Amino acid sequence: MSQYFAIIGKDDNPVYEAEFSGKLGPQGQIQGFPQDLKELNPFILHASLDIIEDLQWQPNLSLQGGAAGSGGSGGFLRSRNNTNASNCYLGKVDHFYGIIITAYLTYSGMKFVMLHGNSVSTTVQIDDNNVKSFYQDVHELYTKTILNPFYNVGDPISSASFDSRVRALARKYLGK
Amino acid sequence: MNNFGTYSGFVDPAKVHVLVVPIGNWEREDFKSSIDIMKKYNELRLLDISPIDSLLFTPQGFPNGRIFLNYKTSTFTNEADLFLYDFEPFRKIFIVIGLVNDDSDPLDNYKKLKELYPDIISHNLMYTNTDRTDLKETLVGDKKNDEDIGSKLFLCNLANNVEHNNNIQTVICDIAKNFLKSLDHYYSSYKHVTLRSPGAIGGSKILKTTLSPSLLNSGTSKSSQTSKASSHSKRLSTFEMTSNIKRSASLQLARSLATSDNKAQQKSQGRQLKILGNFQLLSGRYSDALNSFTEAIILLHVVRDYLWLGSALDGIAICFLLLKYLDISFKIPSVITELCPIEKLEPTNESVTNLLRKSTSSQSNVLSPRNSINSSVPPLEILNSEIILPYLIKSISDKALYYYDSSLAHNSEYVPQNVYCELLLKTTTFMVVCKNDIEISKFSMKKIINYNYSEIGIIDRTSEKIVFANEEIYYFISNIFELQVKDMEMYSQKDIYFTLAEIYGALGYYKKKTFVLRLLLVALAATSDKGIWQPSYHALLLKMVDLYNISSINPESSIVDASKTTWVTFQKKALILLIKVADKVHDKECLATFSLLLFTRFSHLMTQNEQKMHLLTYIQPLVTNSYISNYWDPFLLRDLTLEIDNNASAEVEQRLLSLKDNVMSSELAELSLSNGDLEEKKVFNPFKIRTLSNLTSTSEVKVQKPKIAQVGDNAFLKVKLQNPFKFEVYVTSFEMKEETKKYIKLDNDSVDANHPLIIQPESFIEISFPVSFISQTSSHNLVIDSLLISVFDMKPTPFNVIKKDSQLHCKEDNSNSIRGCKSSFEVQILPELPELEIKKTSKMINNQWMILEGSSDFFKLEIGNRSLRSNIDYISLSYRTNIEASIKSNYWKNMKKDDLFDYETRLEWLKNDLIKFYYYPASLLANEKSEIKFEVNSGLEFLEFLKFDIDIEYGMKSDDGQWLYIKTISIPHQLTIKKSIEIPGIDMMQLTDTFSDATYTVDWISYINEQLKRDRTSKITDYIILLLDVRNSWVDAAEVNFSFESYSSTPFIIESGHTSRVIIPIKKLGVKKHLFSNKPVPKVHKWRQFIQTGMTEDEKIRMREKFWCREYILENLKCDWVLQNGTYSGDVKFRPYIEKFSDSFMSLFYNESLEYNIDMSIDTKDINNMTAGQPFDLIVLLKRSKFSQNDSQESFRMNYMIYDINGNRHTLVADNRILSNGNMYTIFHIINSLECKLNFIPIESGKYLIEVNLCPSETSDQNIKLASQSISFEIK
Repeated sequence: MSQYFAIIGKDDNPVYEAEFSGKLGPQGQIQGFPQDLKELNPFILHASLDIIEDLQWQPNLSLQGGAAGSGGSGGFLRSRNNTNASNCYLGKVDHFYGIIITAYLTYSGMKFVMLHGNSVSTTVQIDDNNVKSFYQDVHELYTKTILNPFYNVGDPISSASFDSRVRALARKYLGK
Repeated sequence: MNNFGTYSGFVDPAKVHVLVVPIGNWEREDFKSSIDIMKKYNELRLLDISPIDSLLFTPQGFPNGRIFLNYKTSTFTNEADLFLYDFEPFRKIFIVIGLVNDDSDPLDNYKKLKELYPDIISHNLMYTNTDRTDLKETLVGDKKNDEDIGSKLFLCNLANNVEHNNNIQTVICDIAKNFLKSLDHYYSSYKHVTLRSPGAIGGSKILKTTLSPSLLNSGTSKSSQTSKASSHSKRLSTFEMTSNIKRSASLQLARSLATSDNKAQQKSQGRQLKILGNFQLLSGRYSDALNSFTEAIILLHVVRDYLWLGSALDGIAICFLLLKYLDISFKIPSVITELCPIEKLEPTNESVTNLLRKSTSSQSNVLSPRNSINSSVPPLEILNSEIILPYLIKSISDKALYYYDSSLAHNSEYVPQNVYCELLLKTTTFMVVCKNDIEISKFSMKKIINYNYSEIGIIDRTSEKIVFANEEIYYFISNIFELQVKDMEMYSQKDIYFTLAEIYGALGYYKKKTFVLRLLLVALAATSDKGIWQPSYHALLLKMVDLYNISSINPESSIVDASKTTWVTFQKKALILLIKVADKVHDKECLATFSLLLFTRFSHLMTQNEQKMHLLTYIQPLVTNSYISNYWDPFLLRDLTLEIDNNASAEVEQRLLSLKDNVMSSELAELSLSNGDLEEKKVFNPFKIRTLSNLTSTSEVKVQKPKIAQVGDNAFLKVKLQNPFKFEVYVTSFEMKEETKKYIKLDNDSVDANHPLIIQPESFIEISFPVSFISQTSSHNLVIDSLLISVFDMKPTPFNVIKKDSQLHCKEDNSNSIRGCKSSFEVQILPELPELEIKKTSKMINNQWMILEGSSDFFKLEIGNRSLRSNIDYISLSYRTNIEASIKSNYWKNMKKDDLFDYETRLEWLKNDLIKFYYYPASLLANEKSEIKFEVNSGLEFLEFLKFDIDIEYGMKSDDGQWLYIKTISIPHQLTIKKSIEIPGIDMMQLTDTFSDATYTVDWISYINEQLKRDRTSKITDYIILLLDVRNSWVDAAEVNFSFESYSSTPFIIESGHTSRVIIPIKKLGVKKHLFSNKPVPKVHKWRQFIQTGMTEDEKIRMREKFWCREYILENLKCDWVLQNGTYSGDVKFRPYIEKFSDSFMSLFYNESLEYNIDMSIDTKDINNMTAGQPFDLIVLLKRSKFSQNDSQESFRMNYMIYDINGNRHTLVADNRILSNGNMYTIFHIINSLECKLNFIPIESGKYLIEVNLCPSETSDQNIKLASQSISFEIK
């Protein structure tokens, strides 16, 4: 399973982009996205911003919390959970030919979006808890980044340590 | 955009496809406008159509009905559609109209139409040339054809005016009538045919719907999830419910059908009924269609013919919708309510939405499970007014999709993918229209029929009447991505993506819309089918750039946009795709726009290879075909300067002065200069917010002084060009702008198309072109801010000079939002000015001269006007020396007053007396010669004086007399001053005794004696002598003559290199006459103020006294010299030699200033005959002078000193101390006067001098003398 992760600013500008490739395949090749899909990834992600924005301003529909919590194979539409601690995590927001898009919204409106794909075009299964933990940890890293007085919110994050830490988190939570 | 793709409307199956083909000589635009007019008549009332003799399709059978026409101009369809005609006959084109605009034979045209379109059932000809009324008559006589061609021939002027409207409508109604007739005929052929499914006919040609496994498995749960996720209600059927119905239906089946033969018959009948329903929909007979579909559903449900059942369900939904549109009340057949359970509206007035969403009980639950369609209980039919139609229709569509899903298990009876997709899409389009409209108003219906979705806005969330939420619609349509759309035929893909894009647009999901359009473009770019391309792609491509935010921002001109961070990699990818598509469709205009956008915005993301390829493949052909006419880099020209090549007058400073406002302007200039100085200092102000940009912006404000050139001058235009790209840029021409051309001529022969200037990749280039000034600009400046530059042999376009990128200041500041600081170069071109020529200075060689200190010399400067045309109207002379150039502006700040006076006096001399101009001409005619006469004086006022420059300002009046063009020429002269007569030493001495007569011949002694004789009151002690060591440093002997006041020495000769001591008698200055203590030290420059001198009042007084005493000496002391060979004469300036007076000088020279006077006398018989051993009395009389302000009693100490005068030397008689009462001094008190007497006994003979000093008693410092006096005597 591979992921394409991006932090998108308020003007739909990418603040950070990364692709996490899965483990080595049986032939020793990296099981990343196929090349044609790699090209398409930013486009898929960009398109799903519409849905995220829609969810962002949706009143919290508490009745659907139960439906949304039923794991990765649940419905596409996930409103924010009613528990406050995790209502940044939007869960699975969109899909495109077997690629699942999950999203996370920070309080300042930064969008963390991730495509979960597979080298074979079967629908991937995602572990909600792991993904949520990943997002939360990245959020923490992001918060630390914006504490940097030399960093302007909305600028691309070029810090190598941020990148390596995010990748480490990806290995920890998503590299299965 | 509508031409671009076919939008899937919900009622499309009720539309009759009409093909319009042009016959004759049509212009494209004319034909299009004719079609547009026809399109206005797309809805025909059956009432208007004359009846036909067909029971099934006669318009009389349902006068309320409508026929909807869908005009097309192309027959491009999917290959596989052919196999769908039996299943969904509405896909077929039924009517063809030949639109004729010439006089061609109707019969031939008709035959040709039939030949070309044999599959189409109704052929019609429409002559737009209405003058040909005889056409029909010619046909009436023609009996060869058995068909009634006359009824298919129409005359109609498709002009867009009301007069003809009725005519067009009648014609189209008649065409519809022809269609109905043909339809009747066509349908009759179906009656005895066994209808087969598309999969059975087409086999592998029909693309089976490929649902992803999860969807297939989930079955209906898919839709239930959707509903769960989006709304509270569970209005859709559950699996249990459908299985209940199935069970009840199968029970009925058991009763009604005995054998499998019967089953096959039922199936065939059901399919026949379904297709009849479709035809009835087309012919406008909706209630009949409703019945046909209902019966078909009953039959098909029983035999589980899922594919046809789904299609029939779809048909019935259309019937409901159209009946609703016609405002005809209808009953919902019980089979529908059973298959698609939907709750009835309660009679209460509760909010519809709330009711719907709260109630979970469905109709079927209320009913008995035994209820069946042919039970004895009359079928429960609900009136359409009792239900919510949008939900019903959605529910039916869901059911149809469910049946389609179910059909996939079958080998041949499966649902083709495009049928499935279309149902999905058209249901969504229906949901989009009805999302806020629970009643489905006429307005919404019109939208559904006419595909008019432009007015649908984003859902208003506050609205109570939300029928379908955005999310629900979105997730419903997302199912399309479970299908392998890319496997479908291009035309289907096109329609699917286009409809999706429209739906997303309507939902406000513009990014989704863009994404889908991108998918479409990728698909289109991959196809080789040329027929698919249409001109309307142009608009789509432009829209895409807009949607991707590429064209909406303008970083080339707006600094705010340029500083925004955007998703560049993503935009670049999109743009490259668009370029590929544009290239494929040969849309050169778009290709040019996009290619340039790629270069201007994303070149930094492109590799060298990419850039080169892009240039070669796209840009260069576009340039050649002049689709690209302007070079894309607006910041090409980075710098522009004029290097004026007037070496001849390089050191000439040129100014422009107004004659009238001469003074004013110079004052103003001074003022502005001082302001500028302040600005330069950049005083730190902690309260002023200084950002980085502020600091940089201050440098921008710097005003560049315009350069000045003259007509006829040659210059070089230095141009700096940039090439940010990774390929070579060829510049093919440079030109001045039109308005500049008349002043400056640019010699640009070196660069042309054959010899282009090549700018290497990612570099700057600087190039110079010779220019010449051809016309004067008079008083205004010529601003050169741009050049016409041609790149890659494109048309020359003006490029502004952009020296640097502007900075984004604060966000609120919009004033400077323009990108790039435009800079300009100003030049003022003056008329040809006269040129003053300096020929030579007389006597001097290379303007160097040696002069003796204190002497002066005359020179002549030969000048001439070199110009042959211009006169010099004004000449003014001044000079400068190296002294003032080296002086700091604040030199006076730390100087004492007297020093400053001294210094400035010398400066003053330098200014006024160094050079004297005796003659110079006021004006010079062209080519006239003249001379300047001047004298150089050489007082050695400054040791570091080396050279002086003579500045000649000369000028010419402008033609209008308003201005004066002034040039300055300065002629440097070096002056070496040789020492002549110097004063290396100076001393003063008190005269104490008179002189013997023998010495009267000495000039100064005789002078004193004369003075003493003349003024009896004066004594010898009133005189002092000034001893000057005079040295002749020159190589020749000089005759020197000193004078002081009335004294004049006898001239004497000092040999070269010799020093003589000169004695000058000076009478002491009396305080009575010269009261200096209150006379302030004068100022040379009055405006200088001393803030603080740091001196006490006493010190000030001392300073003043010393100052005035010295000035007195300097004023009166004169020395003239003349070389013995008579060549030079001069005088000595004493100021540098005579330093400030010391206290001892002062006491000698100005002692009357003291408060006390001491008088000494020796009381003896004969003062001239004093011998050793003979005692005498020294009487010292101490008096308070009348200048004393103090009359109280004070204590003093009096010191006595005895000197032994041995020749000229005074030796203190150290061991012969005078003790008075055991002390070396006496302390006494004085009120007015005191006399004391000391008794001396001389022991040794010799000359002695006794000095008495008066000191304050408190101090033992002997240097502080309040008064002193001495007396000398000789002991024989």
